[in-house]
Amino acid sequence: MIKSILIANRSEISIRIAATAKKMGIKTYMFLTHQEPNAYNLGFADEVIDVSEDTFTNIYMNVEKIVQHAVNHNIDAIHPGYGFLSENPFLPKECEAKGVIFIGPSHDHIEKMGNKGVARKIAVECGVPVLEGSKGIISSLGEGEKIAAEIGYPVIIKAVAGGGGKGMRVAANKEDMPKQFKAAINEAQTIFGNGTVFIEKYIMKPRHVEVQVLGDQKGNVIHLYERECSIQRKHQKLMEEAPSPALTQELREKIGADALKLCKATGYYSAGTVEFLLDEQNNHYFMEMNTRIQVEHPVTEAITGVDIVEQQIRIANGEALQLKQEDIKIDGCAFEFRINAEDVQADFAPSSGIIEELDVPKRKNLRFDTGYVAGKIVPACYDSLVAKAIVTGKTRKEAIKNASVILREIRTGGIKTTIPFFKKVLETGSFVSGEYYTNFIQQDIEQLYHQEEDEQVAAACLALKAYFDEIDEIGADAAREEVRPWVMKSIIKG
Amino acid sequence: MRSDKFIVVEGTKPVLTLKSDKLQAGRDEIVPEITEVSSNEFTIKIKGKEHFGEIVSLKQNVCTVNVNGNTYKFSIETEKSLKRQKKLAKKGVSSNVKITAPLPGTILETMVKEGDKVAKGEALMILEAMKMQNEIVSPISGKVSRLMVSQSDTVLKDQLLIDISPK
Repeated sequence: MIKSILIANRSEISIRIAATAKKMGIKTYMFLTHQEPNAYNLGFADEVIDVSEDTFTNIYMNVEKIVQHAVNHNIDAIHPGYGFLSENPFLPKECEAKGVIFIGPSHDHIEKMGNKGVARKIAVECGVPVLEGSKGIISSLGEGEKIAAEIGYPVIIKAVAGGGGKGMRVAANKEDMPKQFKAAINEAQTIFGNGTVFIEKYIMKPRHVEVQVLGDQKGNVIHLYERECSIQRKHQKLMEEAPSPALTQELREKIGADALKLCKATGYYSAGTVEFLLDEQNNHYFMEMNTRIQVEHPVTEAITGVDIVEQQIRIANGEALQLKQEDIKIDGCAFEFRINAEDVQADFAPSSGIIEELDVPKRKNLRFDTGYVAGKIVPACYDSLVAKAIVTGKTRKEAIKNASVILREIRTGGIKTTIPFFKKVLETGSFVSGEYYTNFIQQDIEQLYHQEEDEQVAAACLALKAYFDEIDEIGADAAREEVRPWVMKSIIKG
Repeated sequence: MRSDKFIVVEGTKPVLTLKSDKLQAGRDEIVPEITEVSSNEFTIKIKGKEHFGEIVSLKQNVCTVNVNGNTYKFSIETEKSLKRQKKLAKKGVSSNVKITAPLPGTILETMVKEGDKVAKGEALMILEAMKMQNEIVSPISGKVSRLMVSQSDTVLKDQLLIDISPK
């Protein structure tokens, strides 16, 4: 029985996990690190483990140290959150060796399903459709070129260890192939420490639809329907919604059933996500499985009412799933906006620094999962996610309306965020109609950010005020020092 | 009362003029209400609509502000200084383009060396920051006149990376 959890993560997801743990009467532990000694999330832990003296380690990436801390503090279980070690099979392995419960699937599941090449093979075996591609991993450019020629360009080169949009490159044609092949391998090697890749046919206008699954250790498995994640930049999700506006009820059931086939075939347990691509004819293809809780899990929670973290903990406890598939109903519509510290006007360049202001309204249609408050620093050494605004509505139309009001009420200062981008998305025709694909950013919008009416003029007024305030101040200083009036005059004339 | 005429310019486009205490945007006269709600947080009310902003920097006559989450960079000119600028622009004075690091990070790879010809939009190097690989591309066509960093260098924000001389 889990009575205490070490949350081996930071920012909003650590707070999210702590909230459920608290509800269940479970004691939580988090790390105090030298990178973020004043992290906002620390206030949500029952106990803080100070590792700030160890300036050589990123604790969240160190399997041995995390598990050792759990053992030293007599902590029952470890929740890895997302990112970091959440899909590293060595963490559950080490947990098992040291008698700590890992809140997630077994290392075997992570190894198999987290490896895109193996997962693909399993999908083929259980009759789930996949895209045309290489049979296994590709070890040389020559081999890659041969297979690409067979299946036809464009192709996508993917790292077997990849995730979160990293380690993926599209080669448009034969000439493009060497450059992209090298880039994919390099990125995979630097980020995942594993440079193995495989190749698949690239769909030009795909949608990204993923199914949330839950399985217990007794072989029961259900799905919580799908999320639509087609609004992406550089293969990284920015915004998600549930349910997907692209699916008919028939297709929804079919994709859900396919996701369950994979779980049953592998005996998968804990929460997981089965990702599919949809082509323009709404054919679906299995892409990969994520064996962790996802950033975008709240949209599913919003429409189904299921607390996914609670289910993860219960499953790790060995409890049988109390939920039956027929209990899961879709109620309403939910969007998630990833408020990242990024400069949309500079093509989403990261914008780390001090958050001078983060004012969020209290609204019944808003769930705001944040890792920061005003006064906190967004460090450059971690990802740029600041907060997630989850906005709901009875219908999709209503949710869009609610979101457009709420996004205008959220005020940020000190850093730039993705909010002006989301305002733009909400007023873009293809999004409003639900007819959008992963090329949305390149194809459907010309300017990445929304400008309010007279915004530029308002900005100019503020600039002019700043300028005159400065001059008046110089003037006042000058007067105090009894500088002759002509000096003043020349300053003003510039 | 300020007697000179001031023009607030974004890029080359005049956005706002001030003359005899009268503010004009295009043909419209506007009366903005600017309130500092807390330290460096302003509301700007124009035509009944409220905007929210902060002053990012002011250096000489160049002012950068954020309004509703978007950044605007203006220069505040007089008629004289504007004329002078137009003259300079006509002469076609152009100088080397210095590219600085948009954020702190590590140089993962450099794709060019000094003396290389580069086209506008061509990738010069990859800067890894905040778990993202950012391609630094050339804003102009020209020649690499100086390369100040090499692979695996750590760079600070605004650190000079590369100098491109225009063709």
